Amino acid sequence: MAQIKINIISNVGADNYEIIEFTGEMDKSNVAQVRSGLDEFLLNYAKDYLILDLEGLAFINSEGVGYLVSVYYRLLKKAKKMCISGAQKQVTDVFNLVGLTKLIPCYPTTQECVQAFQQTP
Amino acid sequence: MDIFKKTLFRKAFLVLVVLGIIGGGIVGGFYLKGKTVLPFWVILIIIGVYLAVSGFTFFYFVSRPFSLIMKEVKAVLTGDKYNKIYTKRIDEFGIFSHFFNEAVLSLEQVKKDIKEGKRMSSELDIVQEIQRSILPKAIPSLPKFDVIAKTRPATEVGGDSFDFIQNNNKHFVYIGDVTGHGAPAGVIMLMVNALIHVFAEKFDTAREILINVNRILKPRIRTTMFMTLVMLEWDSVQQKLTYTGAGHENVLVYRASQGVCEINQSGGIALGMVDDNTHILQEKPISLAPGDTVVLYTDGVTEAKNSAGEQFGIERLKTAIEKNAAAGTIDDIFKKIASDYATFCEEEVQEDDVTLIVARYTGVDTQKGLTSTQW
Repeated sequence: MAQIKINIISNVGADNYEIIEFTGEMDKSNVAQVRSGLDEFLLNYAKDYLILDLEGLAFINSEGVGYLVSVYYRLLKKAKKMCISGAQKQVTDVFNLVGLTKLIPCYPTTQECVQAFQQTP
Repeated sequence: MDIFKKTLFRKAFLVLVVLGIIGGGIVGGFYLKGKTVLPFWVILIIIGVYLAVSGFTFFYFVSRPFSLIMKEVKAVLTGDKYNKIYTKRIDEFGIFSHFFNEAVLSLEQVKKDIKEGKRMSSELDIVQEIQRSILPKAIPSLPKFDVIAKTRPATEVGGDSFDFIQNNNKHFVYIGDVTGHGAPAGVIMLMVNALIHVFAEKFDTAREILINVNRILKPRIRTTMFMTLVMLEWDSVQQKLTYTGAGHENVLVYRASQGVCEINQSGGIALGMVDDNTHILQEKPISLAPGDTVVLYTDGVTEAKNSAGEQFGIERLKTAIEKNAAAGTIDDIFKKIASDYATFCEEEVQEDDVTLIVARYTGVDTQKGLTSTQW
């Protein structure tokens, strides 16, 4: 079973976003674990933006991508925005392949994510 | 006193010691009074007390708990309702009671797993039947091309599908892969296949077909699910080949004159990810000379691993195509590529469906017999 660790960083010095750090690998063997780990957090999420920091994520497959898409739409329903930061090359390649980058903004760093949020209405 | 609680032997020993002390005390008392022979009635009382205490001890410590345990064991064996055995004893009966409780718990779990396994197996049968019904049994002829297409499902249904559709002079060939497994993936596969057939009658281009498939599909599926797909569009009158990608694996084109295999990104976005993919899907041309070969595949091919955990990968696939694309007939080409793939994977269990479509442009119509699509 692939191993994954999720770390939620609140209180990043700003009121309007939080960061979720992913470390490890995400595939069909553990996507249910990720879902159950973040379900309540997403249900109660009240800030304007959410950043998924994937710097520590070494692998993702289509089921993991499907989960990220579901998070995006879940937040969209609550008028929240989401972006991805720091994805490694092999993860970015998967995102580019399935076209995820055309749906969810991806940036090299969390700072660029924050700047992008601040620039868009 | 714990030492005497732990085994029946020690309990029996304790009882014998106590009885011995009592009996010895009675005999000693008579001896001290100067009587060397015990009266018969005293002997009877001593024997009676011994039997009563032994009998009671045996009943309380052995027979009664044994009956209780046997009652529950019989209930399990006959399928009747049984109860957990509650005891604070730590002797042999205590151990056996705890063993019984653990055993029935495991049995309950096994029964549950078997029931769940039967349900999932039944669901899997349905999905496999759906997949079998969608996939073409044999390859129709494609004008000016030799084509071979084969698929091999994994032990669990993985979501690969492909098909050949003709509308007058337009021939559409698609290969696709649904996220996830099981019945939901099977249903999406079925929906997409049906929608493609419907829209292929109405629209002239692969791009328009896929835009409309996505429009109908997106609101009807879960947000976690999508289908990657790439569709070739061959106009047999204009002799023009194009493709439209929806987030699928690369389109490989082997150039016979140079002996090299190009890797072309299929582009686009997977079906079911966005409401409207009109501005994202693009039609891209492929120019062909006789001998050039187009290869479509699913990620089950490139993500297959060997015993060292290495993936087959796009580079190995590219190398296999370059090495074998001039091998002879299209069947020979496929067999050699499949052989390189099998050699790499060794005996590793196939975790995902694998599908490969190889289409060699000949420039002439070849009357090729229909070939099976089973890998």
